[in-house]
Amino acid sequence: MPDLTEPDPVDEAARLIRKTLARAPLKGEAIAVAAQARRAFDHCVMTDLTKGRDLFYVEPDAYGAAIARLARSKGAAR
Amino acid sequence: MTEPLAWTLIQAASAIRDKQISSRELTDLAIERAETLQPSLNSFIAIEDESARAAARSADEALAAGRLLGPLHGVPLAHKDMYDRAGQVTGCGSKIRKDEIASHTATVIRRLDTAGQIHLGRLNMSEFAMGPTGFNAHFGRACNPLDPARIAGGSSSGSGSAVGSNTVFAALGSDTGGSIRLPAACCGVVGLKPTQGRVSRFGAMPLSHSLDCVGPLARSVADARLITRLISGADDRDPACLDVAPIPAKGPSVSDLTIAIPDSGFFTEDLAPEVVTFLGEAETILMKAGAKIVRPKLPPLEDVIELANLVAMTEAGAIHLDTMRARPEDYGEQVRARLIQGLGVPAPIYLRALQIKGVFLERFMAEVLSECDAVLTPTMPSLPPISADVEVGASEAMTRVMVSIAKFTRVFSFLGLPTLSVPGPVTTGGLKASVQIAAAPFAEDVACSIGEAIEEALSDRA
Repeated sequence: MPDLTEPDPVDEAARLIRKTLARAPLKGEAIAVAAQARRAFDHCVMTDLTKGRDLFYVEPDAYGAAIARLARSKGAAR
Repeated sequence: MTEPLAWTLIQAASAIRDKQISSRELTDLAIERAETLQPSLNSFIAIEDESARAAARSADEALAAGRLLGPLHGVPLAHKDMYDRAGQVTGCGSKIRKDEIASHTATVIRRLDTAGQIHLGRLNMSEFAMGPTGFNAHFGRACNPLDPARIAGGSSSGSGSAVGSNTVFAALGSDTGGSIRLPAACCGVVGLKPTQGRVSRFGAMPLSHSLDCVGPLARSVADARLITRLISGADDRDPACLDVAPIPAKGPSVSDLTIAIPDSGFFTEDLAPEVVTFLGEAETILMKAGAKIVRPKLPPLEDVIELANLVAMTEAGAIHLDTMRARPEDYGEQVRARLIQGLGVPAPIYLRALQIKGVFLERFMAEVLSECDAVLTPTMPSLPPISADVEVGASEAMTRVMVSIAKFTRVFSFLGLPTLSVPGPVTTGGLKASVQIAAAPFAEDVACSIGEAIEEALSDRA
């Protein structure tokens, strides 16, 4: 049984589209947004890829910094 | 020697330099083939025959005067419809930008011009590079030269189709979640996604700034390496492009390498029999070449495919926000439904995904690439599917199709590792299975050495 006190995710997604894009959702759009919201939680928040590491001090550009470090260790072209 | 259009890029360039064939003759052959195949393969969005013939004439005159322009002197190439050339249209496979005239030339195009390429035209692609099947609602799909009823793969569908049909000697694609390697695998050619940050993206259509890579589809590993060497290098106009030592012309010996080939878990699930067979053949070839084969203990990878999609769609959503507001009907239905996914991702979740990207690279380097030089897996779990079976419109089934086709390639996109796709021998229905070889950042030479060992062994056998 659906929980009627919870908003329907597809209705929520439709509201988000109206607010952000200032237009009504077109075919498939609200479902796509709702599905992505669910997957984002399942695979990003709940992931164990970081193996319990504390991400408090990790900057969003940690990847760019890591790859630049590796590039320096390989030596510059000039 | 074989028919000229079946030569590799390196053979073609050498034949022109040695005056065995003129650029004009080779370009005429390529144009004739492009025009003949266009009704059945739809590889091109625009065949630019007049300017190509003029450029070929100039190349021949330069050679007659003793001036060699570069390693690609007079060789006809064509590229995905997403690289700017000043004064010309860059349509991005879309209705929205189909008449957009570029004001500048992409760095990679400028570098290939300097190397002497002849530009034959703009190649078909998934609209805005969105989609691994090559579906395009506006221009129709580019078809697979090995079996036109099957997908050419995407998003660089025309690049795979034109190289695989022996129309052009190489083509640039772009890879955000597999868009070079998937069409290469579907069309039975080589595809090289360089390390994130090795190749400038200035003047290339953006899809996802955290994941986009520019690289070639080609007839051989040596051709792919040559093109990548030519387009690589620091570029002041792309601040994310790094100043790093170039890819060496010759890589390490395979007998000095340790190669991880998973025999259980994520990369072995739901494989078609033809894929299993080629994976085994590749392992045997590499063992005979003296490589040490190990079984890696890989981190859990199921989340990576969704994380890669989440980052790509959120960034693409920002790029397309204005046109998604103003001209939503001008997108294909499938592309619009994918582009809008990013709205479902709250900002903290997107930033968390980027944090994970950095931390996961460190983990993969420490746990996997510290034990081996490269990881070899299938490029796709199956042979290319029949086009009609994956035209699923804007539905939840669409996401399942996207994930199943690109699940193996997305892992190495998220990690930003250089990854080479190499085709196997002809199998069921004239199709080919492929493997991908991922190496440490900036170790394209390692992936190419392994790819060449497989390629040479298969060639000897044939």
